[in-house]
This record gives sequence, C-alpha cells and structure tokens, in this order.
Amino acid sequence: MSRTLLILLAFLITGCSNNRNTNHCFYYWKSDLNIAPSDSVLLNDLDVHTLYVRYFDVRWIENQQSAFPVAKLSTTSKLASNIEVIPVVYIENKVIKNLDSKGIDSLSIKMSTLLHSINTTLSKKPRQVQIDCDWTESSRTKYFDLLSHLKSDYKDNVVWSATIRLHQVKYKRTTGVPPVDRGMLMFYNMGVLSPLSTTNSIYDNQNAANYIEYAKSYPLPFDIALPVFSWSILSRNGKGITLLNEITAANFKGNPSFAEKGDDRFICRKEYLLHGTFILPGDEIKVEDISPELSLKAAKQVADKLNSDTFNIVLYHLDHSITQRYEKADFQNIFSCFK
Amino acid sequence: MKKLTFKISLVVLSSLCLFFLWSSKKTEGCSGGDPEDFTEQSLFAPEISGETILSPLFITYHSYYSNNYYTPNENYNEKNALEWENYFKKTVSNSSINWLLYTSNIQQITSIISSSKIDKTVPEELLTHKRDKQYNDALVYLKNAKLAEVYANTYYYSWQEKKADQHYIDSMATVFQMNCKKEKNTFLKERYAFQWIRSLYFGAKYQEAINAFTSFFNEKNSTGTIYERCLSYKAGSLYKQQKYSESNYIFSKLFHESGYCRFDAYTSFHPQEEQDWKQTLLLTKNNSEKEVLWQLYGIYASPLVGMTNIFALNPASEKNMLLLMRAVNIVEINAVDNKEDYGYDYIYSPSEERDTSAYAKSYSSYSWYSIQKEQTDSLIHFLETAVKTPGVYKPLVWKTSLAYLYYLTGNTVQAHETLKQLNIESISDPLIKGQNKITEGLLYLDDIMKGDITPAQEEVLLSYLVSFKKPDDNYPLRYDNVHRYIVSKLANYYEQKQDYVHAEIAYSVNDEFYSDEDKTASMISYLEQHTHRPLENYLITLYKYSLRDFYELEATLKIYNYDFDGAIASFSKDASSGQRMLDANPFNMRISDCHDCDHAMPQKNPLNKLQFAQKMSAIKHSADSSKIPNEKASNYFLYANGLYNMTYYGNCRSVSSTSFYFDTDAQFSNREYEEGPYSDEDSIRSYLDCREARKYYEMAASFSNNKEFKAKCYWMAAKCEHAFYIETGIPKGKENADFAEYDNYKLLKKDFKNTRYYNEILNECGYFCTYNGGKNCIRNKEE
Repeated sequence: MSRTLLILLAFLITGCSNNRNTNHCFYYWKSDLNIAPSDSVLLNDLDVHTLYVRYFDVRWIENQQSAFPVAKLSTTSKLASNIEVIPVVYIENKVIKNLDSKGIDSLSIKMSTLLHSINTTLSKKPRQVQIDCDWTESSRTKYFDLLSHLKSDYKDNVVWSATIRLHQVKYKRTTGVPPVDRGMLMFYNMGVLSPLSTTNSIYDNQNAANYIEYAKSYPLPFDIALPVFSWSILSRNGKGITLLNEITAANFKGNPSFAEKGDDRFICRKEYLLHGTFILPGDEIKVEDISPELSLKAAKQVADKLNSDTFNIVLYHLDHSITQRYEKADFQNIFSCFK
Repeated sequence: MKKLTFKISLVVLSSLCLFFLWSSKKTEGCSGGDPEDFTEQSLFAPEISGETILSPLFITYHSYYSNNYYTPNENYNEKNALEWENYFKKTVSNSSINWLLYTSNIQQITSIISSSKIDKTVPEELLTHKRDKQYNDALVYLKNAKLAEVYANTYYYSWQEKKADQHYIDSMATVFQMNCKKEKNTFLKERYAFQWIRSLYFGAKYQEAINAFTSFFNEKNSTGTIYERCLSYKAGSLYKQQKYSESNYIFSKLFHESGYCRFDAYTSFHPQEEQDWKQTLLLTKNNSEKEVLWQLYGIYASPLVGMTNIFALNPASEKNMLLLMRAVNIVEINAVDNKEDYGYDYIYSPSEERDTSAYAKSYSSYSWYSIQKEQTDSLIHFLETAVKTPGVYKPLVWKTSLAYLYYLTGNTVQAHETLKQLNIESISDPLIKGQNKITEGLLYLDDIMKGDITPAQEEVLLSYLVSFKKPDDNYPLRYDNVHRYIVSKLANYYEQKQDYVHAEIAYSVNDEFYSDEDKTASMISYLEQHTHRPLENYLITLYKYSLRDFYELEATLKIYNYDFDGAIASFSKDASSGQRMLDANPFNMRISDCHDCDHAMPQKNPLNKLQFAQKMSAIKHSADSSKIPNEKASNYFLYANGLYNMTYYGNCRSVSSTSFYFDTDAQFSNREYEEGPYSDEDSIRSYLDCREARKYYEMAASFSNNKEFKAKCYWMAAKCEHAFYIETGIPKGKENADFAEYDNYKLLKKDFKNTRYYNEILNECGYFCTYNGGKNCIRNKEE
C-alpha cells in the first residue's frame, strides 16, 4: 500500500483532520547516539528529518555543592546529514534553586560552551535549542534569567524553545511564561508517579482535560510532544523503587513468578530477574502502558487545542524497543492527527 | 471561668508586614528530609556475626554500612606506591613516588627526563637520582601512562565534552602493546599490559581487550593487583559484549578475592535475565565459587534463597553470615515500627501507605502481608534446620537470630525456649550475649503487658532499661533503638489502659496531650506528687518537661484568656518562669505593621512575659479606675496595643511561646502561603483573635475628645477588623472585592477626613488609599 493511501486511510480511520504546517520529529533521549539501521529507515518513511537530541542533563551534585552535566551525549556513530538536530538540555530544578545569580551567569556560559562542543562533534549547526526544566514559582526568576543569559552567551542566532508542562500552562500567572521563542507542550507525565495511584501517570485523558483548554491562550507558540513510551513502577513495601522502562503487562502475564492483581498490576510470588532488576516476592508492579491506541487518543485530544498553525510534532522517544512495539502506521496515525 | 481551648505555637517570627497583605495561594509539597537510616530503627546488630570484610554490606539505607556513599575498597593507591618503592629498590621516597604517580603531569615528567626543573613542586631527589636504565624506563612508562589519563581517568564531574578521540586511543593502545612486548622487566611489562588492555577497553575494542588479556596472562592463574585490574577490564569488555554470564562470573571472583576492587566488582555484578544467571552458575569450577555466586544473589535478591543454596553446598560456609544478618534485618524493616517519632509527618512513611488501602486489602490472598509472612515463615523454618545441623558455622549466631525472629513473629514460647537453650549467662562473646539480653528484655515486656504490670515487674523492666543504656556511640548493639522501642510500647500499654499521664511520661510523641486541659492538669498534679515508684522516677528523669514548663503554660493560657492577674499568680509558682523576653515594645503601634522594625528598635526597659502580664494588669486597672476621660482613653489605648501585639498580627506574638510545641499549629509556618479563612467565629483561638483589642480601641476612642487620637483608635480598630476577616472569611458579597469595606473604614472616611492622621494613613497604606479612590496610591505605584 502506498504511503499516500495509507495516510488517507489513516484520516478516514482516525477522523483527525486539520490543515496546518507540521513537522514530524522524535526525541532522542539516550546518552549513546547510535540509531539502529532499521530505525533510520523508519524515520525516513515517517518523513522525520528532525531529532530533538538530549545533549546532557544538568544536575546538582551534592558532595561537590555544584552543578555538573551528567549523562553527556557520546557519539559512536554519526548522524545522517539530512537529519536536523535540536539540542535539548534537561536542568534539574534543584540546580536553579541552589544557584545564586552569579552561579546562574556561570552556568549559562558553561552550558553554551558544552552545547557548541557537542555541535562540533556532531558536525551540526542547530537552528533551534531547547531547555527542559520543571521550574516552580520559587525557581522561576532565576530560571528565566538563565534563559535570557543563554540567548546572549550561546551567540549563534537560534530559536529558543522551553518545555512547558501542563500545570505551567494552566497556572501561567503564578509560574510565569519563560522568555523564549517557542514552548514545547509536554503532553505526558501529567499525573502522580506513585504505585498507589489508580491512574496512568504518563497520560490520562481526564487529567489532561483539566488543563488542556488553557493551551489556546498561552502566549508562546506551541510545539507538541506526545508519549509513545511505557514503563512499569516497581514498588517494595508500598514505596516505588524503580521504573522498568518499556516493560509492559506482556512481561508478566502467564509468568508463574507473578500473580495478576488487575489489568495493570502484578505481584511477585517468587524472585525473578528481569532486564537486570531483581524482583522479589511481595514486590508490586504497576504497568503504565501507552499503547498505540492510547497515544492516538492523546493526539486527538490535543490536536485542535494548540495555539499555532506551524509547529513540530515530537514523539517521545526514539528507542528500538518502542519502534518494535509500534507499527509504522501507528506513528503515521499520530502525526496525521495534526494535519 | 471560660474553658481554655486555645493552643499555643512556637511561631518563628518572620519579617512580615502583615497588615493588608493578602495571601496568595501556594501549594507547597512537604520538603521532607533525608529519611532516617534503618540503623536508627533496628534492634538487631549484625556485628554479632563477626563479619568484618563484608560488613559494608550490612543492611543500611545508604550505599554502604558505616561508609555511607564511599566505596570501602582497600586502598589501591597505597599498595601501588609500595610496589613502586620496591621497583626502585627504596632509592626513591614514598612521598616522591606518590607525587609521581598521582600528582605530576606530563610536562613535569618530561622535565625530569630531561633533568630540567620546571617548577618548585618537582621533588629534588627525582632530578638528582642516578640515571640508570631502570629509572629511565620507569619515567618513560609514567609519561605514557599520563598520556592515557585523558581518556581512561577522566574526572566524572566535568564541563568538558565526553569525547572519544578514537584515533588517539587506538594509537596509545599500539604504543602500550609495543612497549609491553619489548619490555624485559616484569614489573613494567605487566603495567604496560594493563595500559594496553585498558586502552583497548576505552577504545571500545572489547574483543581485542579480551584477546590481549588472554595472550598476556596466557590463562595462567596469575595474582597481584595488576592482574586483578586487567581482569576487571576483561569482565567489563565481556559485559559490553552482552556476555553477561562470563562477565558476572569474573566479577564474582574479584568480589571474593580482591581487596582492591571487591566493592567495585560487587557494583559491577549485573545479571540481566534468569537465563544468564543460570549460565553463570554453570561456569563455576568448584563449590566455593558457587557459594560466592549465591552470596551475591543473596545480597542482591533473596538472602533466604542465597543461604539455602550455600547451605546445600556447604553447611559450614562462613558466607552465610552476611546473608543471615541481612535476612534478619530485612524482616525487621517490616516488623519493627520504631521510627523516631517527631510528632508530625516529617518523614515519608511507607508503612502508612502499604496495603492499608481498601484496594490492597481486597486482594488479601496476594497481599504484601501474606507474602511477607510466607517468606518469614520459610526463613524461620530454614534456620530451625540450620541450628540442628552439625558443623554449621557459628551456631550461636544462628540461634541468636532464630530467637529474635521468634520474638518478631510473636512466637514467644519458641523464643523463650531458644533463649533457654542458649543459656545467655554462659555466652562469652559480649555482643552475642548482649543481643540475646535484648531479645530477653523485649520478651519480658511483651509477657508483662499481657496483664497488669505489678510494681515488682516494673522493677525488673527498669533493670532492663537501665542495662540498655548505650556505653558509647560506637558500641555496635542498638541499645538506643531498643530503649526507645520499649518505652514506646510501654506508652501504648498505658494508653490502652487510658492511663494517659503514664503514657505521656513514658514516651512523649507530640504536644497534642497538652491541648487538653484536663490531661494537663492531671500531669501537673502527678508531677507535684512527692513519691513515685522507681520506674516512674526513671521515666520522669527522661521526660522532656518539668513543672516549671507547666506553670509557664498555665500562665500563658491565662494571658490569652485576658486574665493577667491569674497569669501573674501562675508565674509566681516557680521563680524561674515567665522570664522569656519579648521581642519588641508591646505597647507601640504603627499604621502599617513592621515587626522587623519593631524588633530592631532599641528598648529602654525590655519586658519579659511576667512583666508584660504585670504591666497589662496595671494599665487596665488604671484605665478602669480613672475618672479623667482622656486618661482613661490613653490607658485603654495602651492596653489595646498590648492585646493587639500579643496576637499573631502583633509585634510580640512570642508572648505565646512556651516549651510546648503543638503539631497541629505547624500550619502557621506556612500561613502566608495559604488562603483563609482558617477558622469560624466561634472557634477562633485568642492568639488569632483581634476582637478584644478592637473592643478596647473603640472604648479608648469613646473616652477621648481629641479627633487625631480618635482617628488613630479607629484605624487600629480597622486593622483588628481586617485581621478577623482574614481568620474567619470576608463577609458575604464582598468575597471578590480587593478589600472589604470595614465599619471603621466607613467611619474614618465619614468623620475623620480632615484629620492629619487620616492623611498619614492615605500616604502609608495603599489599600486604604485605593479604597478612598486615590489614583497615586503607594500600592498602585508599586504595581
């Protein structure tokens, strides 16, 4: 079936139809930049020529009493020349909270230098840079200062983007609007990450509905980030201890070491080793699965709520296990929602 | 007398200009803190096992027991320096060797090679040392080794890009390989081999690294630090190749054999799936290697499964000691609720969340509790077998553990029986003996709590409590925790019997008790009694309050009931009470409050609480008895200032401070972030209630014929009105207004517009100015 036909079919099936200028993208969130050949083919088929690549995280290192980049991107293979890179830096809110204004100045310079250094290694000259930080009221002023400093310290003339979480959209009066050119509306990780919560913390239709109506009036033009990932929360003694990435109910159903407590909950009956994690008797697993259907539902919910006609649609994230779980058409359906 | 329902808080005075400062809604999560380590709760000391090498792996919430986050390997650098000392045949001092190995840079080493001193830090002896082949070769090696540090020894926290210059690493690997081949001296040859293998690893040439290791060491059973380090790079290479079984097998050997990388090997040991774990077991060459693997499994996963497998291989294995201690402590985590209770929910508490939800209970057959019970029962069953097995390693430790587990699971009969078999007094090891004494004491408490505790039983219990006093901070038995556990259980026992005073004396969690006047009164009369039994005396000495604190509390409650004479009488019961100093002059007032300014203002005669009560009583008396209206007015005004300032809104709210901390009042510290109303008209506490002050401000105004003075009185009365609405809510219909139209606002506007004071208010208070339709008010300018 030709691609056009497929997309046409997708329109018919999903009922998503708008007429806007969109650009298909993925986040690349691993520290080793190494894309499987089959994924490169998929990107091409999906008309994805832009990757939001996480360059590094900035975290507060307690024993150094200072901020440092961690999980810096290391490149073992080059990216294709037709792939445009938008660097992303995640900054832990604690960093902003702990730094004084001098520290913010110096952080901006260090980040700019490191961003340029990685650009050079990748032989890329990005046209946009994104900063990701779940800032709060108390860190707002310093975070916005950092963004302003970055604009001058980075020197290259680029579009500056910042991630915006749903609560920051709704409560923009108190959390403020960052001084950047674009906002990336994060349409995931919207709930409470807790083994006891009865809703999916990645995406929950009801939860999203409480916030999404505010997007239209947000003063920055939005790009949109949607989830295609899943995870399971492993809890011991009622306390979440780790996230098992890309582990879904399929890993536990029919496994004699686990008993089913409900559709999305399993309890371990006998020690079990799974992807390097020892799961112990009594441990509980809450699966938070974003199936292709659920992801599409999210796309449909947000599709006509955006405040711009030209925007990037970014799927979080490019990972081989996800591209194995999702069909090509699943991704196409999501992208098609915003046309 | 009006029933005192008022509670007092120790409010941290902050720099608040409270008046007319509308609070904005702010949701603040509990900022929390580091949770207490498990070792602060446990009653069972793993030190009784005698395990020393692996003691960093005793149960703790930190990375390592006693070492917190630091990897407790033996010091490799020290050992390496010693090896170099031998290489130089002691012709170079240890300090110079340390400088060469760990401090110097390439330029400095090059300068030594060329005998040219480039800076003062180069030790003189290295420049003047005899230039023989051995010395020169060592310098060449060290120079090359420094060249490799850019990729192999990078500082983890750095703003430099993590750059792998493949060509550079490859060329260095070749240099090391060539030097390794031609070097004749074994010491340097081995080190070149290490650099070679390490460079291949960092160049992501994993198979070549493995081959290099094999070709150099030729599969012989080498030993020594260099061999161990090379072996760890081989294991790392195998891991990178996803050959987890082989990688983990090597790491298990290093964990067992190498003091220098034991704990690195432990953290590198990463079985991925069931299958590769089984495969690792198949790689072992003997039972001892299997035991090590099961020990690691026991640490990472289930200690019981680890122990069972080790026991099956070798009942006399010492490797079960660590696992046994971990197993008992893990049962404790769930069975012993012995958190230090601060009286407020400061620390995340998993026990409160786990399985208490209706959801969890509805799946009772698979509940967390039932599975834990099953696990603990299996553990006990295993220990019962172990203690009966001849030749088991350290049987006393097994039996001690078993007795304690019986206690934890409520099997007191078996617990007593096991202690009897142990014959505690005959045990020579002081730690094992002490641990069993603890179990005995805990059992005794449980036994006596089944009925009414008699005075004789109290004395026995007291002897246990006294003996559980920690000799010093480093003493391994967990006496502090045990002591707290016993008194808190004792408090529960008294609580059940509704003997609240004894419960509070035994273990005082928070100050909720003291918000009940009857309970407080019974505590006072209990403490005033002349005789107490020995256990009571012991608990009273540990109790956090004394009679003086109560007299002070009583007086403070009376102050807030406006009974100043009563307060003076209460203070007088103990000469040392009422001495807390006030932060400011309580008889001053301002148009807009500024506590910081008042606190900073020097006071000629600063007052303490007692003097404040005396002064209030005297002023009130003068006001009531005076026949001169203006004198009456000025005294009522002063009195009203005192009343205003002792509330939450005034400059002397610390009048409310006592030794008592009421947890329910902790909300005040966040008060500025939360919107009111906080209470209703009937239940408002006098600490927050400005109505009494308002009454006297209005009374003062009524006696005065001075318009300026009257304006001041009505302004203060308006502030009181405002405070009251913050507490109890804005009157209906005015909720959305920026400010409410108070009675005294209206009055001021109507009758005092022409006073000087009125204009001062307009200048200083933006809200009032706005209310009056002002366009250039302070408030508007600031916005």
